[in-house]
Amino acid sequence: MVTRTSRLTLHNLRYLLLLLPAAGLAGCSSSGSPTYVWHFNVVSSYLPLLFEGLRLTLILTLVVVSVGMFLGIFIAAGRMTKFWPVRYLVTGYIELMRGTPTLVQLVWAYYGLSILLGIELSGLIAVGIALTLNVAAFFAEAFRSGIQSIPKEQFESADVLGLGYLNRMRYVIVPQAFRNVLPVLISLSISLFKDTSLVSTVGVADLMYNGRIVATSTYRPLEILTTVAVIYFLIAFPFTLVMRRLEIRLSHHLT
Amino acid sequence: MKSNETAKPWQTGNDDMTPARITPMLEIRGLCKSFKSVVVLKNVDLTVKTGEVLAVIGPSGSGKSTLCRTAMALETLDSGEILVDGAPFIIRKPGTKQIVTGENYCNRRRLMGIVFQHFTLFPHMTIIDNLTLGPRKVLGQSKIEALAQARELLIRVGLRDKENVFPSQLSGGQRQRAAIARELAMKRKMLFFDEVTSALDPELVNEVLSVMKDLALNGMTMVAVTHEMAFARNCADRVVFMDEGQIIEQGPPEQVLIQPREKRTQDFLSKVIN
Repeated sequence: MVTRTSRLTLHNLRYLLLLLPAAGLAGCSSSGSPTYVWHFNVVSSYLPLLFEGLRLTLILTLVVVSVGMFLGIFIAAGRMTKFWPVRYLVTGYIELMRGTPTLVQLVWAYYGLSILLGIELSGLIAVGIALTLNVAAFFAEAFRSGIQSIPKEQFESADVLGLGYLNRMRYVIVPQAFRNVLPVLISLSISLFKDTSLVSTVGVADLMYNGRIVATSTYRPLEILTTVAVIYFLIAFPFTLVMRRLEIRLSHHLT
Repeated sequence: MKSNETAKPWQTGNDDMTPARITPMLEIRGLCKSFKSVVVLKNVDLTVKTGEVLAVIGPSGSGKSTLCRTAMALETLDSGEILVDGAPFIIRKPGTKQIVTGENYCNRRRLMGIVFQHFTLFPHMTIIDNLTLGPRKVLGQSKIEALAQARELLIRVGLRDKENVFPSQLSGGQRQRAAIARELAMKRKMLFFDEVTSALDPELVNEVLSVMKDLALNGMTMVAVTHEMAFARNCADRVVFMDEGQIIEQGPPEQVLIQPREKRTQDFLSKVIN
């Protein structure tokens, strides 16, 4: 037991190595020839503004992840249906979302809709919809792979047991599929959390947008953006740890 | 083979004197099935009487599993008739696209259960949940009722202390016994066993076979696809030998296994028994 704990601690400490490059960068300023003097004290007075942006980033992430996951279930069902017109349509949609840059999708939603179709949406709503549609496609693919990884005997056993389609899904297939894909879902959510920073390009005041505003007005982009990065990291990192734990636990469970 | 003991919950066979004894449990007529261009079943006729224990033997790829799976409506058939408990279950006339299901299709299908070689149990549920899911959701039993029945069945298959355990914590033999118990919980009249012992370590085979033997003695109608010749000889009422999608020979075990008439049966047996 003791060895196990100590190994775990060591294991966790290893992640601190990730911070070495940043430390090295900071170290350069004192020893290297181009002398740059870091002024992190500038940051403190702008922290409230950054946190305000963070609030929007978190809300946006939460809404997009939950709606995207919900939509993803139906998209996955459409992707797997035997009715080919729906399947082709949904597959096309997924490939479009996966194969084009998210930034371009945001621009389509924000400018494209208003210029081409005359639909005026507020920036936040437009990018919220675009991100949701984007991430729903990824969630759908995760769900599909989760469902398709389940042995066919499971579908057949549930069928033979006399369970109808919805009960089969509810009691037998989805719980297993969800466990299988949970690490992937968390990983996608972490990516999305960082990708929400793209909304700053269309003027939505998230963490990144506020960071950039502060950076230009203080002429201290390195300090400010490093702070922004640290905030993103501190939120994303615990989820990465949870994901690793889950992956290990899942590989021990279910044969 | 059959003996009439006092009625027990897992005892689903009828008394020998009732009319149901005369009605065949399963009747297959002219069954044809192919996967794409590969013909798997060629015009198969087979009747299983109520309470009868059938052992289906034959080389791999001979269509044994497909026969069971098609009879259980897990595969669609190309043509043929399947009757369950004396009434039409699935019918497809040759050359037609339409598969006709008989009256009470769902209820008829519920009379039959199947145990696979692998993955029959639901791995995310405890054994007791595996056993109570069907009775509660499909048969409409109360939780108390389903639990009591499941516990009784677990004692029956020798897994009394395993009710709160997950399938991954059981040995292969225990898993198969639990899977059989789950089918019994659904009050099946007929069970298919699709090579249930083929993936087991040799020392685990007997515990599963003894549960099957016990079922046979208690009047369950059974169709067992098996490579266990001892089981076929000792427990089956009839042995069916299949090859290349056809029933080549069938009859009492003494005849088919010991004095086979057909050349192909003889060849197969000489390979298997050594």
